[in-house]
Amino acid sequence: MSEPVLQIHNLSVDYPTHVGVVRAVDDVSLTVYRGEVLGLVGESGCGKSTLGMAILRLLRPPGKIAGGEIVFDEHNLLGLDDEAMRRLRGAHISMIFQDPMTCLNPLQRISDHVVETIRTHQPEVSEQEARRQATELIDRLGIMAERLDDYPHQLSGGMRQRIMIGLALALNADLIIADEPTTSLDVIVEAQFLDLLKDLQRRFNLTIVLITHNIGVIAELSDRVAVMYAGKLVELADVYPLFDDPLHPYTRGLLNSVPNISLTEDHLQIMSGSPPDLINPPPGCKFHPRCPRAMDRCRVEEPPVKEVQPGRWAACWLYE
Amino acid sequence: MQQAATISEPTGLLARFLRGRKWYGTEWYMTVTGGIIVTFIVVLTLVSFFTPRLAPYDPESRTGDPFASPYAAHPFGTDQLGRDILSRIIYGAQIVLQVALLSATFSFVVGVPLGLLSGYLGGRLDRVLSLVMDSIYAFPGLILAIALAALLGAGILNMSVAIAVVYVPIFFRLVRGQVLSIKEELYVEAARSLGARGRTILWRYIFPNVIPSIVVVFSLNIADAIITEAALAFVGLGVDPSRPDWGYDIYRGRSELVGGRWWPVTFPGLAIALVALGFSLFGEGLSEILNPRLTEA
Repeated sequence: MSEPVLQIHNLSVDYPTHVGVVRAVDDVSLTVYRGEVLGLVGESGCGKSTLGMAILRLLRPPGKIAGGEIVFDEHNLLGLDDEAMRRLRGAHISMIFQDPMTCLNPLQRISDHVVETIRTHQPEVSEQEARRQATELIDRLGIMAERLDDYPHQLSGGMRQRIMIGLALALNADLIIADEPTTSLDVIVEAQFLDLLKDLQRRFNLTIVLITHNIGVIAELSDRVAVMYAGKLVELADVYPLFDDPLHPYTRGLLNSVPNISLTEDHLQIMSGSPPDLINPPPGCKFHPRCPRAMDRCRVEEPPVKEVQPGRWAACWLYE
Repeated sequence: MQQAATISEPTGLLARFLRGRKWYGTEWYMTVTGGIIVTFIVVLTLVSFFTPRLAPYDPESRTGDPFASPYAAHPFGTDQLGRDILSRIIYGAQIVLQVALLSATFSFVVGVPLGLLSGYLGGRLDRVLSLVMDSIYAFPGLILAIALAALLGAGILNMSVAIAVVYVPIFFRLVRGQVLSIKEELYVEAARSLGARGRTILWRYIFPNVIPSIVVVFSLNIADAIITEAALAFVGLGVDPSRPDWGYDIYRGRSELVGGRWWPVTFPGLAIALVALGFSLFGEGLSEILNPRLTEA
């Protein structure tokens, strides 16, 4: 496998609240390799977006990183000062957000957004040169150059989302974190967007962490998949084995609960229960109250993440 | 088909202001008031620029009999010293406008940057500034202005400062509140994720989005400042008493009302009311233009 771009070691993120501390990300370790698309999947509130924001160190207060290490390109991000971190954002790690309708400043033209992003990181680039690059960039995204002088409200949601990718790509970032990039797009625009992203990823060998709750998007785009549950990483594998033969009962439940047109059964298999309260998480494995295969051990002892088969990791006592 | 697109509605702020919005099913209402207000403010500005040429008499010397009731030579009558009231009103406009504009500008210049920083940086600075501003805000405005004016002494500049202090918290609170909500917008977060500097975010993302509400408050503030200025002058804290000032003229004329001499009070009073009304309607109009959601209703 190629070189690692991002290594997360035992990362934990806490949100102190009035009623207790919410551990939104709990002891997660992950490695992202250059040129791969790593899908990060899980239910709402499982900590996947928090993990994304933690990588950029843009957690909203009171959220804070409680422990662990984030190594990007041999630098520990948690040790950088704010200015160094700021220079890294956009230039080396950038982010695409969920809601394209509100992610651009309504009072700035598209060109201002692009030019500003380029010149923030490369002040030596002239205004004209940055504009030329902007034209080239949006051309690559399939948007006409005339639209560069439009304001965000003059563009459609799909176009705005493409502009967001453009901004994320403007400086050839080594890592792009896409947080639910298609959730607010309709299916047709979503499909076009995924095609574009796939195409750009192949052409420029982009490294993407794709955060989504949509299994279909994961299947479409990812090389590897990390499944999160209640702040924990429960399974990590290449996309094909994961879909063919999920190891963790949660992953299995997640895949079964997706409607499938080839299914012969009348009813969708749903997972009973709901994710645990993270202020008072259940003891042992956090999934055991919902797990069809829970054993006594699961109720008391938390399973570690271990390599069950080569390249396939799971946190479950079934594989002990 | 392309021809059809060329028939367009009048655009531009003035046209939109004059066209106004539907009011009780008709559009003419706002058209007429909008027109009157704009004309009024333009006329007022011109008057204060060309005061000496417009005023029929010297406002500070005796040009007729004392307490002459309005007649052709003195359309607004004369005061107890035989000075022409119309001329005094025309000259007074200058002082009122100067004080109102200066004080609104001062409060803007102080309140807006403080509100921006306080809202954006938060923390201890925000707590301290908010405490100070809320204390000023909680204090009755006119009393505070009187106290400050008494402390600073007479004069246009001092009066403006005294009034400005009262209105700084209005700008501060407005801007701070807006910054707090705009700060949470996704486009600010997105800018941050692309490595934008703090000052870029403040000046290019937050500040421009606050401007529309500031402009409206600025105009409403001018209206308020006009009334406060008159009140200060009324209690004798205005400019040098020999100079024409609407508020002070009302003070001097108020005792004449008993004797049936209504004109020394009525005309300056009317002037204050009209100018204040003009600016506050102007502010309302602006807020309708800048807030398209209101217009749609």
